[in-house]
Amino acid sequence: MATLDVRLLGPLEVRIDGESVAVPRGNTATVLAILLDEAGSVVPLGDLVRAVYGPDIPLDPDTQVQNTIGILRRKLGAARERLATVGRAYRFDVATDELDLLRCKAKDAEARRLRTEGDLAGAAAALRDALAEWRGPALADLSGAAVEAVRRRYDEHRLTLLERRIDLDLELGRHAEVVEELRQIVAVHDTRQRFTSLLMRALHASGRAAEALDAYEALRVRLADALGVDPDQALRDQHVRILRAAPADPGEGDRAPAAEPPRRVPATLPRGNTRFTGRDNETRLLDGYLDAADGEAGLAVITGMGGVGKTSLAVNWAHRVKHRFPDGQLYFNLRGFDPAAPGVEPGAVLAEALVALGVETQQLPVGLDERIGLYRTVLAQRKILVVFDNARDAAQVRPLLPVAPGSFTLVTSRDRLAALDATEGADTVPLELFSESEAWALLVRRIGLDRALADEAAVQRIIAACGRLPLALTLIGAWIAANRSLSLATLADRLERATSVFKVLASTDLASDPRSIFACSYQALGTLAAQAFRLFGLHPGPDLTVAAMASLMGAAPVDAEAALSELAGVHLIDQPREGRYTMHDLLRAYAKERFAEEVAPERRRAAEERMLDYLLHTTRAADELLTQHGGGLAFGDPAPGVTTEPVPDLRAAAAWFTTEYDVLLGLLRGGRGLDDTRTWRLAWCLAEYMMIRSLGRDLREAQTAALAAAERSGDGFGQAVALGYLSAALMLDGDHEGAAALLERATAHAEATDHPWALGFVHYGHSVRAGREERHEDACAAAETARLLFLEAGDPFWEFRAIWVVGWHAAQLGAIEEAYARFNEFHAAAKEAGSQLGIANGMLGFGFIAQLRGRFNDALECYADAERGFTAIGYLPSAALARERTGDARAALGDTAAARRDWLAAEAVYAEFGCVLELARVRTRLADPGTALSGPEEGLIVLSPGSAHERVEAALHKALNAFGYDVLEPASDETAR
Amino acid sequence: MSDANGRGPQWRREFTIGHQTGDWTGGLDAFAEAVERGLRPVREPSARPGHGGPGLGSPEPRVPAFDKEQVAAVASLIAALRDCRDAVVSLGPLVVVKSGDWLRVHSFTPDEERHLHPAVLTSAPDLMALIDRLTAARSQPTDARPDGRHRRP
Repeated sequence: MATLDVRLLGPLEVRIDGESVAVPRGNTATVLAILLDEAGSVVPLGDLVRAVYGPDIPLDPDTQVQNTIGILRRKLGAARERLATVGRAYRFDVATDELDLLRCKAKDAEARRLRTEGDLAGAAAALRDALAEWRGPALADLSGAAVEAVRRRYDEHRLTLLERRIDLDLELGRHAEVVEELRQIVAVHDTRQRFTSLLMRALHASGRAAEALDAYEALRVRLADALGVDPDQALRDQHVRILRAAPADPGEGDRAPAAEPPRRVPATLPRGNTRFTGRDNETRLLDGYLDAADGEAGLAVITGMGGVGKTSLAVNWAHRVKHRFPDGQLYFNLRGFDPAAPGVEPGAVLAEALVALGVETQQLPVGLDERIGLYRTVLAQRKILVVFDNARDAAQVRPLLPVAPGSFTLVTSRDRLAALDATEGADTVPLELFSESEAWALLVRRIGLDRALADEAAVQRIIAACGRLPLALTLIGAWIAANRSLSLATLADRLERATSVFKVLASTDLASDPRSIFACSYQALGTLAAQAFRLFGLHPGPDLTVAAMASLMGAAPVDAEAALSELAGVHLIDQPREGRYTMHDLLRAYAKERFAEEVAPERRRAAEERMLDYLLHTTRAADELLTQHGGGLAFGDPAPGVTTEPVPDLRAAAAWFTTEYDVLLGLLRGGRGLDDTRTWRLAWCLAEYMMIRSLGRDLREAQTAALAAAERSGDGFGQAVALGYLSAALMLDGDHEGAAALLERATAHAEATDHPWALGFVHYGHSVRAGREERHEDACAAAETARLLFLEAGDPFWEFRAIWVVGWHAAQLGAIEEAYARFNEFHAAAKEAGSQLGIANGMLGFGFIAQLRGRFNDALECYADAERGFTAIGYLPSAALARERTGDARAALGDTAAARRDWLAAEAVYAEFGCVLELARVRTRLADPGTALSGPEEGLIVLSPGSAHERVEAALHKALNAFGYDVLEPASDETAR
Repeated sequence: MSDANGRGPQWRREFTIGHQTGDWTGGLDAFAEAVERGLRPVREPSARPGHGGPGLGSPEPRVPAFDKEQVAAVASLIAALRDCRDAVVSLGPLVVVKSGDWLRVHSFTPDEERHLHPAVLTSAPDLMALIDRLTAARSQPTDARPDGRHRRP
């Protein structure tokens, strides 16, 4: 077999058995480049046609490309067998060491592996080798839109590799060595903020803080001049840290600081459009509304049709006035008109807002009213700008409106939101299609004045064909700019020929068909980017990650990232924040149309399956971390080509559930191709999260779907699990009879399967039920049976869970020694496994035993440990139980006032989470007249830095004495907060 | 209340207080009233001993009389707090908070105490905002319009 040496990362070069082969530039080289870009994969003939001809498709393009393939085969000579025909598609087979692109990818993968293993020097060396494959701009001697797209992607990848290599060098302490290299890079890529960040980091770590500050200032000026924007938040934070003369951190710069300030200033606006054009009147209107608000809580609404530029105006105006809001800016896409989703619920938006404002995820209230209350409390006295994009109606927005004086809210919607005008005093900015002059200005800004003036009539025809719709004009402008050789008149002819009616805009007054405009951008995409575009609409969420796209494509993450980068480069998608990508509703609809028309059914189904497996298996990984269990049934591997999200720790697991909860629940509600097995498995993976958060209603809904699915497929194991969790959902609601009936059905299915885990699961359910009914002997017996079954099933997590239940009820029965032994066993195992949940549960058990033994102070310590542990991992109802028990111990010590406060605190959490039984129990304690007396009070002084604390403390003691109080228990002071 | 502005960590101390005669929260009510009175602007001297508020001329029989020692001690505490940028003093259900130019005292009802999130207790601006909200809620009739009115005058 002939040996090949092919190079794309520079001028295109082909050597066969050491001899250089002259591949004709033009269509032949383009076809070769596209095939090599997809080396080893099948490239459909249609993709090659699009790559070679773009929108100017000749008569019989298939034959033309087939002829080009023939020419290429002749040129390949002895290596012609490498170019295989597969039906109406082609594949170029090449080994990794024969193509520079593949060698580069292999070294990149090697670097990632070494980095993960902690070998930083090895990883940096591998990246140097990867970068050494470049001999100049990729495909430097080829031209054409398709090649340009490939080149952009490769060159972007090269810069990313360079950033990672320098990042590693900095981690290795090579600060001084990279400074000069970085200065040269910054001189070339002068608005790429990441390089300036690395330069600042290198200079600061080398003790050259003044030069680091100069580098920032130079970038700030360049960005302001070139793009009219400020450096991003991370860079500004880095600048502030250097200004404060903080010690240089080897990892500083592009990372978040280790400890978040308690009062966070959010800055979640997406990037502004650097080519934002027109809208002067509307901008003046908004300025006026802001001025008129004059310290009140202002509210304005931008309304208009899809694609008219509401988001662009809102975001650019927000950037324009953000300096007037020192307490930050928040941005939310409410997805009110997303054809694939029902719109974002206010509760989810509030959760995101509260986290952005500094509230810890585990401290988020569950109820909507509580979230609104906390949101308004946190926002009170803050001058903040909030943008709600794509609101469906007034009801979606109303709970989210900040009320603090000096705050300002800007809403965009296709709806007129007249209700907001009427009830909230909103000012409205109706946004129309661009005027002729605005449309002209936008196009000229993108394609250049000379080119526009050279064929002014054609430009006017293009504007008319785009219906003066800003979204269409933006896309067509980007496309024209990327195709310098294109005749504007030819493009205008083509646009005018399009007659079909795009359904999404059928009800609007548009004169044109935007599909023809979208098609221009789409057809210029490289193969991978076009694939990514078509697949984007398959994802059920508002935005997606690189791993999600990699799964949809069945490709490596590096390729998915490159494809997304290319899509973002031509404005077909946005990147509202690092690592997440979103697509305009109209484009999403178009992408779905392309997907349905261009992709064969079996490939469509495969992509859907990969998508579902990505969601299921990532949820499974998060669930295993959340509960430290991996028992039951093994799920097996996901479908080939699936890349799951990394879930390295509990925080990442919690973040996954927080971010994707609505998407996952939506899948269970709506089906969306979820087969029966995946349905009950997904419900299973969500069950413990729902239990922890006491989301009884959601649990019931999810498990009802799971049960139906398991019944349809005749899966006994699935039915036992679904019925068991349905029973738990009813128990959460206090419906004991219903719970018992479901548990009996679950038991029957578990016995039929004879699977030890399923049997253990239902016996565990019986023990919980008996415990809630205070039948402690039954609870002990059922938990012991469950323990043995989990032992047989080889699931230590559930085994120890059962041990804990045995200990708890043994203690209730007075078998203190046995209970202590069980908790000891449990606690030791939890510590060994590093399970925070297990340790907290163990401390709760020890506290209970200490209390039973009359050692109340010991009990208080254990309960405090348990409460801290539960709170840290977001198990708030369990933390409330520890708090309730704290109250019991304090009441036993005679401190009834403190006990009441503990019970009230527990009551608030139980009420919020809807824990019916617990609520009744703690209210019984509170209603006891014997505990209504007051006792010693707790005191706390918290002073801002630099305060004369001795003076305040002395004055307080003196004042308290004057009113008959003594300070009984001065605790140690604590200054490091 | 934080080191967000680079001025070092906040200072914090926890303790327990007990009443010498067992007049638990009643004593704190008087303490709260004394602080509140100390915060009111004095427009002219009080007409009667023990009556020091702005409601001049109208008898306030429920207002306790405070002795000189109590008045001086509370004045001294207020002065010390005024010199802090932010401060929170919490005594059971009673909270004295100083944030920026404002100093307020508030006695939390058992129902209101559920809002006393630990994070709120360490942030004077947030606590001030909470007190404002609760005070506003106390003064509203039950069918009052909820928060969220944006219409400008």
